[in-house]
Amino acid sequence: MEATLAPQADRVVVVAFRKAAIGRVNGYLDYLLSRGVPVTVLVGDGQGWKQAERFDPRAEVLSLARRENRRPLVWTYTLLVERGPGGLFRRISRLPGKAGGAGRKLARAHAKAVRLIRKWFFWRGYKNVRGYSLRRIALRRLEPLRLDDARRVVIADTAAVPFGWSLARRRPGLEVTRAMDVSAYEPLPVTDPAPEQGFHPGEHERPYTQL
Amino acid sequence: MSERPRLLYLAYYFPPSRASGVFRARATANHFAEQGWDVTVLRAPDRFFYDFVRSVDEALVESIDPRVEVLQPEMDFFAWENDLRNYSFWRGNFPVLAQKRYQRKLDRTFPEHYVTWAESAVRTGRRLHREQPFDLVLATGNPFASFWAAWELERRTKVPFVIDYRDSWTLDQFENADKFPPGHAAWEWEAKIHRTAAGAVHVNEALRAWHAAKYPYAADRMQVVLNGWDPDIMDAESFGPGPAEDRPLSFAFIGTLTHVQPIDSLLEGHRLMAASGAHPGSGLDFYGHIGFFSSTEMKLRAQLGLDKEIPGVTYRGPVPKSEIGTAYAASDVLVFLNGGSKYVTTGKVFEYMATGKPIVSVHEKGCAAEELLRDYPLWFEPESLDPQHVAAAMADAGDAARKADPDTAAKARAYARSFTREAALAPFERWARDLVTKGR
Repeated sequence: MEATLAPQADRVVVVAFRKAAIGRVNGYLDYLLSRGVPVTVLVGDGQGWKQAERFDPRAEVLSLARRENRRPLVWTYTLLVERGPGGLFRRISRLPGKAGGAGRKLARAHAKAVRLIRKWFFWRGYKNVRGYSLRRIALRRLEPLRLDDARRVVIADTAAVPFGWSLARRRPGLEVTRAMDVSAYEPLPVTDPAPEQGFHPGEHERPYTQL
Repeated sequence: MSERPRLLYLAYYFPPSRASGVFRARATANHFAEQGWDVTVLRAPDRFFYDFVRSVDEALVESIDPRVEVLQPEMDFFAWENDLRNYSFWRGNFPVLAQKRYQRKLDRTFPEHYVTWAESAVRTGRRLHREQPFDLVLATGNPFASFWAAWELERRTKVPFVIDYRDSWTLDQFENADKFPPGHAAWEWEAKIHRTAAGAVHVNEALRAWHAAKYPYAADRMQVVLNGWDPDIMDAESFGPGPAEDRPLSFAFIGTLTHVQPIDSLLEGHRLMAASGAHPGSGLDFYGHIGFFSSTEMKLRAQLGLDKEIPGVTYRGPVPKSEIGTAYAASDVLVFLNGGSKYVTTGKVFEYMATGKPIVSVHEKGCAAEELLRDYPLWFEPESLDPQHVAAAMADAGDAARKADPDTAAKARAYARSFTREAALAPFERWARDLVTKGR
């Protein structure tokens, strides 16, 4: 496998902070990886990535999920609104008799309320600051991205633009672009065709390397 | 008229661009300059052609009449800029707000990314008009922001304007359907522009009729100016009588390959013809670009099935317009591969006819070019796009190429001489001169 890889300087880093980018990114990854171009994907998949499709398993994927979920705003919200009351109601629902029945009703009502609160309040506010929060996290963890031997960094969605912009300022010699341009790799032959893809959450409880 | 009439020509795609519409714009500017007009062309900035679309043919710049003044109004590359090193602090830190602000600007003025160029063209046009007044503004689309610029210039300077539709704006020419949903701003703008335009020019009668029915109040100001072939680029008299007996035939498509062309029928038709034993060893050669933009070339190549080797089929790559004659000279039968719509003529058909070589059509019935090819003596039309029919038509065209009857070739070339750019543009130039004279 190593022998078929393009020179390390050709490595591409893709940054995706929103799950809406997965389809496009996977198309791009397939083109590059099939031609032996190594790709590292940096994903901010902590919030808003429920039921997200998996990235191409041939790519190295580094996740900021654990770090994002530990940010004070996210951690406090999930503890006070989601995990805390949810856990309490689940415990009550395990009690025998009327208390257990009331607990189950409360747990169901809470689960429904959580979905609405997340959609209408938490996400509406958090999505506006999420890009900056992830920028802060990602800029402190550049080492695993090995940018010295990267050919370009591709910013796959709008949420990742603040990170890309700061990165471009820190490293003016590095190409940081929104374009998924494959013209440079067109002459390369297909050496590693795509395997069957698909995301199986059961098989991959935490499929990506956490930073 | 005592002094030279002054024409401001808004042509976003102009050399060094190699986009398909450039040849009409180039010929129009040159023809008006030759006929004694002072021509000023406003085109897209170099950066757009070299950095973003990357489809350039510098040889075309040399073919512009030196009397034509060419200027490049600036524009905002917001929609095309991908390099984050060039993003401003505002866009880099507030990408969503920046996008919203940009979109609001489009909504307020004109619904096209090119509108900043059009605004800049209006400023440039007004400045030049103050220095020395223009007599006529001619705008060619796409992009249709150039129509908006001409409309705006007329509003501010009262200089009459004419719009030249190289393609339709609101009609999907291939699907014969509306390009925009009801209520889209494009409908309102097209109607508004037609109300004040001194004239509207179309590339074929079907398009003129569609627009005349859509905007009846402007129907009497609409006319057809066909595309044509350019004798200064292609010496039609230089082509020999036919292929040498000992050489296999070359069937060739010369032009830009796109996803709307029925290439499968052609490839399979060629394979069947070879399998039947007709014209043994004949090759199918493709000259030209794949797609109009380099960024889509790779995808399109795979889509067309040209990313793998096919026996007898050769993709020979793009040919600079200045050397297009060599590609025609190397071809024995020309394949007119086309999306096939009554609204699509394509400029290539005129060049094909100019060669006097057999032409085999590979497109759906009802293509606008059929009207032109019907009287061409070396036209071979398959019954349908069924590969068997295509193979039969190719074999017949190959027979005609082998026969190489000089009289038929001479008749074919004589017919094609009525379709030069000069011939197409002359009545339009006279009409424009009359318009300007009346207005003085």
